[in-house]
Amino acid sequence: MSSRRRIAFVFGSNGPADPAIEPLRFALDDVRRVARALRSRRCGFDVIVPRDDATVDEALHQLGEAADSCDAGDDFVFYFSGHGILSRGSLVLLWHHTQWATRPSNTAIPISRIMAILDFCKASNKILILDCCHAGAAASALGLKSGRGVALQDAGVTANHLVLMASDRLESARELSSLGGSFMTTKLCHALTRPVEKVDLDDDGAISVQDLATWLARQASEYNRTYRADVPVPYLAGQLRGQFFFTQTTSWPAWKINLPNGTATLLPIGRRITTSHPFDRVTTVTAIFDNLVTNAEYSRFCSDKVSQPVGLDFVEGRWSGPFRPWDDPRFNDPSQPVVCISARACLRSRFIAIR
Amino acid sequence: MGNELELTYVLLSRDVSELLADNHSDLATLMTQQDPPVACRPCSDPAFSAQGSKDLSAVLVSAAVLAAGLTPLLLRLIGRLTSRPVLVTELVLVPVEDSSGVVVQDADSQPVLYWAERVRFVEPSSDAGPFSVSVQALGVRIDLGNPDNV
Repeated sequence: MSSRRRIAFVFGSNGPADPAIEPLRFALDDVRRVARALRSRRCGFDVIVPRDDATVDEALHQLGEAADSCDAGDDFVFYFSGHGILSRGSLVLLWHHTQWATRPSNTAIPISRIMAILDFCKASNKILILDCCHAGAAASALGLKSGRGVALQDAGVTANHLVLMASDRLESARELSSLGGSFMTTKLCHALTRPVEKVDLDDDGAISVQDLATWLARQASEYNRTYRADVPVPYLAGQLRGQFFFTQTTSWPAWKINLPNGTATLLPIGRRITTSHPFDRVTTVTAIFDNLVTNAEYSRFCSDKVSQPVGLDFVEGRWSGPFRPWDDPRFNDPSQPVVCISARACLRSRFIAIR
Repeated sequence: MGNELELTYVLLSRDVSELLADNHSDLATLMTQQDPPVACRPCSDPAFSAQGSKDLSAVLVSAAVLAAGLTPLLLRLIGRLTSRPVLVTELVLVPVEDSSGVVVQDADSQPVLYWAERVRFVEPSSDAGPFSVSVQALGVRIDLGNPDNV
């Protein structure tokens, strides 16, 4: 059985050399940034980016090859940043070589062509990310008049197609000099490259598409409120069966702390570890000792470098704190087992953490 | 593009854009389907392009059409799709000026422009009219009126 693959096709265009069309400044930068974010170890996608001078046919051929290479269980992401135009009510993406007045059919990219290619893609998870104007018209290609406000499970589609859109059908997406890129793409890259807990709204240790969509919508609302701006609020449409994670879920890496008479294995409470160093993100873990360690032994071992441990207490079905066991007569007798240790303090005391 | 004043921008309100999209149409398509076809193409709204908008929903029409009556044409084309009254407002694209009359520029040293409504359309001409210096382009905005006013 082949392992699960994650493939992303990332492309965009600042637009054609048409004097009537204001060229975009950051669409190609958007492409580079998204490609870098998706390629990162955190996301783990194999990213395909067409050549800058590729024709529409070449780019779509490459998209088709990438989509066809997917199998069931794989993840496939399609991303576009650039000009979008409504033609006869349908979304059309503009490319570098688009000659709208004379050769639109061979030089522009109707979203229906993208959808047709993705229809054949066997990946279990397929998501289109459209950072362009009128992106919501892509919802029509999924059988929806407009995606905004349509519950994911109500979308009448047969595959796990999702579309993350920078704008609704009649809205204009924006790129901002202050951000050096398109609004949604800039925030998307922030989400995928910055500390996970800001975006991981459900605390499951990874960024799902729903986490991302919700966070992006909040970012847009906050930006508009702060700057009295009118960037469109990104939204998600389509059908979601199960979860689709942009970041790779990481399993607990079996961190252990060596103690005087054995080891303590650390297990997370709440947020999972998602970085190479577990204590960058987790302040509270469960420690399972393979031998009893008394308060006296722990205190002696840590010497004066360690302040008293602080943890959480499980009260009425939830963890709450701070809990200072050495201030509590039920737990502070030197002969009693230590009920709480400080992982950070252990590291500071040069306890050896091993995988 | 040549002289901007040889061209006219047609700007669509959200209602009109939605009307066209719902009818699987767009203004450029409707105009090119006329007999004789009206030369036009989608374009960026010059009043918003400096703000990073990716939108191309404006339509650029040769000003020669004006002589043949752009406004009646638009009224007829849009009016066929709705029972609501169609409103056409004539516009001129002018630079924003500060209180001392200096043209305001954006971060790229380009003049900040806006569409100003004109009660009467100002035809481009070679003689120095009141807008001959500052008018950057001509336009019309199409909107739908209140259905109660039909």
